[in-house]
Amino acid sequence: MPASRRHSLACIVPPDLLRDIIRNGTEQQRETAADTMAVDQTFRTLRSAFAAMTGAHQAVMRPMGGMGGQPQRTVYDQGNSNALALGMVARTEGQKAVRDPAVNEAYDGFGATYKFFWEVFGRNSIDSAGMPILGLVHYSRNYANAFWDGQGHMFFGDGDGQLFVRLTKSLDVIGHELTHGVTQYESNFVYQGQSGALNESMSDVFGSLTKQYKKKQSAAKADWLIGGEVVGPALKPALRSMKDPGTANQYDKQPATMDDFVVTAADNGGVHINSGIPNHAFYVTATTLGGKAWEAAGHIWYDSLRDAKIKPTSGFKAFARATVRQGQMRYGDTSAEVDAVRAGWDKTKVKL
Amino acid sequence: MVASVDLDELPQKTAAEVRAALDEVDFDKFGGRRSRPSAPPAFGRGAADTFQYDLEIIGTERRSLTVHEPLPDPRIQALVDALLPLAHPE
Repeated sequence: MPASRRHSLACIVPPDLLRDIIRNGTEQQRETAADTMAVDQTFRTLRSAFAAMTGAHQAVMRPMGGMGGQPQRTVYDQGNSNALALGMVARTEGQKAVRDPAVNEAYDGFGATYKFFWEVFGRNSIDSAGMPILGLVHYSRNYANAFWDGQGHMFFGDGDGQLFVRLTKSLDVIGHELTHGVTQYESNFVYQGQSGALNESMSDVFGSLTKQYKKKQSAAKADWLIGGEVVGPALKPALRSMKDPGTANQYDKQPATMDDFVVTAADNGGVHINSGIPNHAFYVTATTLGGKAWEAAGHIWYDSLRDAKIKPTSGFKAFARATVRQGQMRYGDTSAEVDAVRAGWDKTKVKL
Repeated sequence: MVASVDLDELPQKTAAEVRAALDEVDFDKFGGRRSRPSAPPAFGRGAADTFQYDLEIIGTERRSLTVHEPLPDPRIQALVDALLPLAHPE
């Protein structure tokens, strides 16, 4: 093994730096970094396995899967069936657009979400190891929903015309559902109570950021609405608002602060309701900082999703503390970024 | 979404459809008692944004059923399909 590679391993060159080199370096630099990552991956895999055996947090060291940069998308047409088995293949990776707009929208939305996670965070697909992205469109009949099944598939309904129109039309919805997969592979927040609301919030945050990134919007210009393109007349103008929780539509019951936290047995303990609180914390953080929301706030939230102290059952306080900790690690204890994070949690009355 | 349905107040055709769907469901087979809303979804671990349906039928006896997607039986699917058009957001 060449001395330089031994030194890279001994100096524990962080994957982030190697990924930057792969993206931005000269050809020689990219080749060296890629080789280093390939060897490094073996050792990180071994370390991760050892950590798992010794009871350490599993999400700290994740192996990098291959070079990345290219999604592997397949869209299936379920033909309005309720069957869970994969339907007809409608479009595969690299194939030109087809006649069915739902198929093309799912394909393009997957691509945009993949591109966001890869270019901003260096994440190679949902599992950070190049996992294929599978979409099942035209699920059931008049189905007013889209969901992630926990087994690598995203299902889309065509809507009922009242609550929702075709759900593939919304990039933030697509980003939302794929982020459930990301969360599954990182913190794996239990889908109940506060951890479940965090699970939902991560999906709204990164779903919204996917849309903002695609549109090259600043935090100030973004609408911070979820599902605005797919709600029907009964739910106009949107499903949720991160900027003003509780105002997205006439049925919106989301709270903006812990003063109005909803205690309920419905909705797995209100996971879609109380997500308004961490959603709003992110909005306040991002707009306090200004610029592009994915640059600082997005990185802090992504780092926190992968924080070693975050568990599947972590609640709002633990996650808030993680955002402060990650902000301090990335930007310094007395940075504007950490001040903005604290402002977000102060505004939502989540005690640190 | 909530649907509160009195079969006697529905149009005859709709009432017949709902009644037929109800008659097909074996409540004893699928629990019959209201299960806790926190029951895990029927998809894999990590599933999110799937629907849960809480059904309470009041007739000569009270029967309850909570089911998650994917629905466990096509007859339950038929009952849900019959009730959904009668539901409204709350």
